Amino acid sequence: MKRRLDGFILIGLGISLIMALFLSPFASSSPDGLEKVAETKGFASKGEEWKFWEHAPLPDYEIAWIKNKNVSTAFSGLVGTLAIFFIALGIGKLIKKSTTQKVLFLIFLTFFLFSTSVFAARPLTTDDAYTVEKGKFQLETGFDFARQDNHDREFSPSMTLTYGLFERMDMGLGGGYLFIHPAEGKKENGLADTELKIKYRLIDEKDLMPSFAIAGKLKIPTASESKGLGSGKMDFGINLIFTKNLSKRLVLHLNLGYTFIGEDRVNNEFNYSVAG
Amino acid sequence: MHIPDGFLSHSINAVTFVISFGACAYGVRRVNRTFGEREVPLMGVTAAFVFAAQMLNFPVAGGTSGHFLGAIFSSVLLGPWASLIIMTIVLIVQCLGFADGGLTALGSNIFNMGIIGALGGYSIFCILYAFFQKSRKGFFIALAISSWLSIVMGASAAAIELATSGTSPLEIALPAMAGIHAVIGIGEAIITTTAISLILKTRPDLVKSYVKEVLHEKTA
Repeated sequence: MKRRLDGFILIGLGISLIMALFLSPFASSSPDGLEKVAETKGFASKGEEWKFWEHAPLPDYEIAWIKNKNVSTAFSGLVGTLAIFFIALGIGKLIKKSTTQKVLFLIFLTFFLFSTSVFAARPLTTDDAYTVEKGKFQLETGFDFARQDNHDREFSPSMTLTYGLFERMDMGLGGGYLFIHPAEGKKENGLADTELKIKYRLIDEKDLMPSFAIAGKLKIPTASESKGLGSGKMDFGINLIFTKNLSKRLVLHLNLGYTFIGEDRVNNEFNYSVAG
Repeated sequence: MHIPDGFLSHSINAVTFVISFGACAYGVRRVNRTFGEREVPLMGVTAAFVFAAQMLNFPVAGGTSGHFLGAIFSSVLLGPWASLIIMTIVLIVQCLGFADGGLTALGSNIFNMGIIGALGGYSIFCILYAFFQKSRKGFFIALAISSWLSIVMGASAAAIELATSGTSPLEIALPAMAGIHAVIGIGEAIITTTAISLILKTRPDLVKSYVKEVLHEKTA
């Protein structure tokens, strides 16, 4: 009796994405009803006196680093439409969960929404949407080597310990040691920044749906600022992670992240990465 | 119709925030009871469609533009409470992600578009649909009138908030807001009826309010 939905969902999402991508650049740029009334009745300036929220990653549906206005609008529409789809889907799933799970999620959400501190290290690696099993530990070690254009060299052994807090949620603490060997000048070494990460898996992979997790990261400035190993400021970041098994051998990870950087001189960052 | 920061007084924003928050909390409970696994992805795709469609401003008279709201569209597909939640999600993302609509005015925007637009508009839809004895023709007439009203009522609510905040006197704000949105509402009515009739043609099982009433007729 009940007909399958996949087709309808795909077509609906397809139409929405086409609208956002191809029609939005042609939308009228005239002021809308309220803006027009504000202009003609002389209270438009009240809105310009102060802006409460200045951290919007894509203000006025534009991506700052894309110069072409049409392309910029189209892509911000694409990002917004996809984000809304997954957020609404996630909230829809969450509504069906028990009260305890809702409360846990709210606590988690509060953790990264109301934290005033922010995060600076660009997430260089692409994360996956899986979480560590409840009650189990996972230890990851790594060794990074970077050689800059000016022949500065950096070595950094690091370690991350992750613990499965709940079935769908894990928490990790990562730190490392940093050696900087500049081409000229003094060699420095010391503790690198420490990163605290909480990841919550909202959606499991099923049929067409990728698995989806949301992660919040807090950079604690343990690295010495005076030695030039870190910024000495707290940074805070949010990452949306999608993972989809395309075949037995190919797994696609997509990350969309936004970082609020503590250092005043540096702008907040919007990052994305794809890995197979 | 998205009110930016600075237009409304803090007391108006606080009152509408409390009302909107309460309505959303109740809405979540209602949706929890009525939604199955089936409706969840529908909610995702409806929200995505509403967001994308809201980006497409169409020109109306005198150098002004308007855009689709989708409150009645979502209500007819998934029920008024799910529609309120969809409106809320779209407004929060527009505010936080795109600086469209103020953060302090978020409660007022949810109130105007979600509570007045979706809940209020859908109540009118139900009354009109019942008045037309739930005929197919009556369904579309109710759809067109209620979607037009959802815009005009939402804009009027915004005008009343502006007046109460002391931004613009009511005798100026109300006719101006209602007047221009009476034109924008025509666009809303056309888009809503066209989109719903297309869905009704291809997947009548997905138009919740229509199917429900037809079943009523059969069982009655």
